[in-house]
Amino acid sequence: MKSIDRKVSQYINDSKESVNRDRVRDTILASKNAFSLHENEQTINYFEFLYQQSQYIQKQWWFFQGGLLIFLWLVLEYSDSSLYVQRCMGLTAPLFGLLILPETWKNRKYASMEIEGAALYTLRQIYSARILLFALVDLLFLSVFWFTAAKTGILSGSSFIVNFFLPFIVTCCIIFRSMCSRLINSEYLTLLICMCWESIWMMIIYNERFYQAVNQVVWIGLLILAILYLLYCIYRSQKYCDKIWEVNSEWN
Amino acid sequence: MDLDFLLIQKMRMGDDTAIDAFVEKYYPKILQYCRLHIRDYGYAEDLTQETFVKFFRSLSDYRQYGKVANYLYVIAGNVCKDFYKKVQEIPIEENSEGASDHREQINTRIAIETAINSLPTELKETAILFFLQEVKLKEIACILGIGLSLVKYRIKKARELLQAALSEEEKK
Repeated sequence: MKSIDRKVSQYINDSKESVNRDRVRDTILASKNAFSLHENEQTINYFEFLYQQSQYIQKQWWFFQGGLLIFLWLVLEYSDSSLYVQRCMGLTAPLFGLLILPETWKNRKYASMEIEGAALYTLRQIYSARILLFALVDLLFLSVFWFTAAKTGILSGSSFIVNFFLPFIVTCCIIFRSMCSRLINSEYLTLLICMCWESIWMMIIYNERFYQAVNQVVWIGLLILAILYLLYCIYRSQKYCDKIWEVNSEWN
Repeated sequence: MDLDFLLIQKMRMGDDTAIDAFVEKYYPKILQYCRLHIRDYGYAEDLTQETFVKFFRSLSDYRQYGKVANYLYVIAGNVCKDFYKKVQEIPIEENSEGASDHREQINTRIAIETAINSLPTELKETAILFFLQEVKLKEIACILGIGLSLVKYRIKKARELLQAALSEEEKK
């Protein structure tokens, strides 16, 4: 047996010495050409990039969001659809927003920004694509819900905006603001803040005198403010993503 | 996280030095692998180059599940098979390195290559990976798409046959 092992190890050593340096250089050059040629052919457009990013998102959360809206529609359909029931609908709005929390926080929780920083695309591109995907899917869900509820006459447009859309947007503001904050390092803290917001919202809708006192115009004004603040949070998370998530900015 | 993972990430970003390091690292192993399939040194060099070119063409789609070397062996194996299909008979140059090699080295090389080539095809592939490329048993099973027990059996059988062939060569 020793004869085989000795001869094999001698053979391996001899083979290492007999590499032609010119051919190695040729191979390196050919490899670089093949890579750059393929990369030029493989340039993907923005929709393909979005599709690619959607592959990395767990779809179960969208499934739960859809399930929540169906549950809400059933409650409205089979209850007396009174204004009080419509008002209570707002309690599920923060939960609807919270269902995207695990996916938005996933990368920060597992500290995968270092890997994404070394990826082909910048952190900004990756996060903008994911935020856009969440926004598009939620917009689709809420549009279908609103259209169906309005069609069956169980929910008015203004009631939907005030009682569901406004608390949902505020929840999104909390999620995105905490995600682009250096002080908040845990998704559980974000969850706690959202719960606090849910409690505040509950107090508002259960306080009949206060709720009735607030004019429709004030609600719309608050909604516009919340949307503007949400846009600011998203802009901030995009602009300062490198600093917030402590990824070497040279990589991007 | 192994070093190859970082090297691949850098290569994907178009880092030239990472490509240089990668080719330098794996070129000798792949050349040796090709050479044991195609005994002509010049052809083996061509096939090694083709292996790397194919790897870099698919680099952006490559998902690293195991060792990158195993993936290179799979590509090299396919390249060699394609070559066999194109050329049925290849002129063998047993000593293409020139006269500078020592006589003992040449004798060992010829003995090993002759012994390896005398093995049946399925044993030859396993023997090349295990004895000459020093690939682990589990990885060989992965590369060849066969069970671990079959790999062990083939290695045992190949060892016996190689031993017999080398003993025969020594007697001559």
